[in-house]
Amino acid sequence: MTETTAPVPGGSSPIDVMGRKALWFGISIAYLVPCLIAIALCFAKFGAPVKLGIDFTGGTLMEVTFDRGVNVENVREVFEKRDIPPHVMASQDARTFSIRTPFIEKSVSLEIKRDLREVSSFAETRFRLESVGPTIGRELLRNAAYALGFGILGILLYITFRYQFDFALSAIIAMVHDGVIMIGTFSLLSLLGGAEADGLLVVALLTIMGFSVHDTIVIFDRFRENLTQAKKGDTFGDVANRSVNQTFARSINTSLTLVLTLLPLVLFGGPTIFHFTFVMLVGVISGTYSSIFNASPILVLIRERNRRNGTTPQAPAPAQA
Amino acid sequence: MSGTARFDIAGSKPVDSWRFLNLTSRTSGPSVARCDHTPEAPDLSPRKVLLVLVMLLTLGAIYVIQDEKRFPTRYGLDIQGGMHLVLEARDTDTVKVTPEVMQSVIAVVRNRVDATGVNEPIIQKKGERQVLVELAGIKDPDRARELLGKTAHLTFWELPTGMQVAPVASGSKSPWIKTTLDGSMLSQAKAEPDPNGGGWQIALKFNAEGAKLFGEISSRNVGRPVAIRLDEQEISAPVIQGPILGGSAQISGRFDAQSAQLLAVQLRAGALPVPLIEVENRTVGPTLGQDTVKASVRAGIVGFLLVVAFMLAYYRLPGLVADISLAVYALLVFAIFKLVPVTLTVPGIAGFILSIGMAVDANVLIFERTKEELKRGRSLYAAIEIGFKRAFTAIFDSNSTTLLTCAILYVFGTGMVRGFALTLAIGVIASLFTAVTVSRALLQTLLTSGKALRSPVYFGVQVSETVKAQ
Repeated sequence: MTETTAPVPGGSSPIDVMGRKALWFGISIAYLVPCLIAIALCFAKFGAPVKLGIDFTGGTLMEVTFDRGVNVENVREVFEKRDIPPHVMASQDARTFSIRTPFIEKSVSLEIKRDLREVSSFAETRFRLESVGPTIGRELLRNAAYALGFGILGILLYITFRYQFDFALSAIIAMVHDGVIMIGTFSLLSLLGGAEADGLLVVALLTIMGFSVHDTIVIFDRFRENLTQAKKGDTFGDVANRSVNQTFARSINTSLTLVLTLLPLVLFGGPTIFHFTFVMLVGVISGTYSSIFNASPILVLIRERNRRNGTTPQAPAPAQA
Repeated sequence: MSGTARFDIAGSKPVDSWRFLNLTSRTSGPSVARCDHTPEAPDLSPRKVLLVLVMLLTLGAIYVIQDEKRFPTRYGLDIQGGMHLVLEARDTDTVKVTPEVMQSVIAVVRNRVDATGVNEPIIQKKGERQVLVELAGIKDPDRARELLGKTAHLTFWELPTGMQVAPVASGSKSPWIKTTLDGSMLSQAKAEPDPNGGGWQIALKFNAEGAKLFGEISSRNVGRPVAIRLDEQEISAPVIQGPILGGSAQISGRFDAQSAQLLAVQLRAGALPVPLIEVENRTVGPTLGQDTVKASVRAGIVGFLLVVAFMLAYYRLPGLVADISLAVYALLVFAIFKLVPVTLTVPGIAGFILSIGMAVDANVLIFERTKEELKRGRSLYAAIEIGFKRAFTAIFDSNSTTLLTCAILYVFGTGMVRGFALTLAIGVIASLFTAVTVSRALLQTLLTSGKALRSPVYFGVQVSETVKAQ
């Protein structure tokens, strides 16, 4: 093997990442389009890109496991006689109920719990209540928006400082791509399975966006190194291609180890964190793909355009940590 | 280790590896040669010291982990069960919610929480007019809810005629009789230095109606105590020294600045009552939380084993080193969680498990680079050195962005989100130590002491793949 060939596992020829930009962007678009459609449908149906849960909208969720099976109608009645519209989900054995309603204030909520006890007995340890006032929900939404905004800005500044602005821009575009794919996937879950977004979705989004940039930076770090050692006649695209191929095995292996840790969480982690871990799993795969097949070609595109416009590309400052 | 088996598969002989080693001493720089000549020399190198340090740290971590008594694992409400609620103070016609009023509100809430007897309650001011309360493992959440949401009520009590001293802890019902004087008639309460001595006292001022009532009460209770209760709890029972007719009174005694301040705040809470509205309540029964934890811990162990197996299969010897580092990592992080202590929530545990996958990344980066250098025909030691050195900037920059995200999540998040950000950040920092420092020291030590291990084959590189020396 010579220096320019890549250590692609099992393969002998390097992947032509830069030459087949259209294909790689096409694959992204092929997945982005259904995501965007799902987001649009969610907007039409729920007024938000995903169906928002009570964390954001405000509302009350009660979850109770009775000691024995009870009639759904009896549970419903407890709420309806107070003119509260309940959205009831019952387990197969009609013991566990999950009831979602608009925000119920404290005194009524206490009365309802007493009435539920009259329907049938249940242990205090098997009762869960989540009640979020509308102001709290707006606060969370605002904080989520701040977190996303500052997150993007912070990363943009960091990469510009450590590399260059166009590196930062390419990394951010790839990151937004992953964000849209994660939101779109969640929209699909909302439309098909009624999945509701909670605070954890924001956590998943930000974590994966951080990971996506993390992944891109590893490739860009190789760009930086290879640019300083570039031979005469090497185009920026050649250097980019070499860098991506040299880091290819690492990208795949890292994302594989993340998939290996996330997959059991998705499969056996229980319903509380299912959506959280599932969206992260999708994000890891998307993040790895976008780092290799989006961020780098985009950077090459920007550089090639700049050269045509007469701007001279510079190698980023040598690495130091 | 499966050393011999590896040989057979690759079909290479130890001789090959020695050829690589010999190459080292001829072609590599001084920094690499240093590693070469030391196997027999009495070794007190920084590396040895470091390994001993790591071993001690690991033992310390194991000690912390197994000692649940002194270093209890702190579980979040979503796991151990309990009630998380946010109360919001509302303006009334007469009282606006100011920082001073909030101080009183928090004093009231603390007073009530203490009455529930919950261990280690969390009471925090949140925003400008909210109080966050977390009651772990609470037995009767409904009663606590009713209690906490009430508007503060300050009342004055006297003893029946003939009784001089309040009986201490009598089993029968309290002899105290409620007077008609209450907090709404108290217009001021503030702590001030006692002009007659070094201590502190609390100055009270009543409005006209209060002054009249307090005048009557004090006149008929000279030499006897009058109790002041906030909600149901007695906060003070000063003995009346003489009739107080002007509407101004002082409570003096053995107060220091702090205790005088506390009592004044409690009195003001009753003087300026604001309604407390429950705006958020999350109550989880412990059984539900534990089911989730069991599931995610099981998932975490499966994930950990999968990663360990993958690293071993793909990277062979360094994979084993990475696995050991990973085990050290998991132990260290868990010990840090117990020492800080970090409250473990379900998403926090998920963050910890995810960080295991991310912790390996640094090793993957290093070993991929090492493999690459081996394939270019570099000697084993040179390849390892370069692997660690070159990979470092990538590791540093990529982890910095993750830490940046954690910081942002921590600043803008609350509760669960913060827990997740904190666990992930601790994980990232610890992984920098274990994946870079620990695995490097381990790998070098293994190669120095075990000559048979010095083959690129153990690094997942076929000898045929490498470039012959030019």
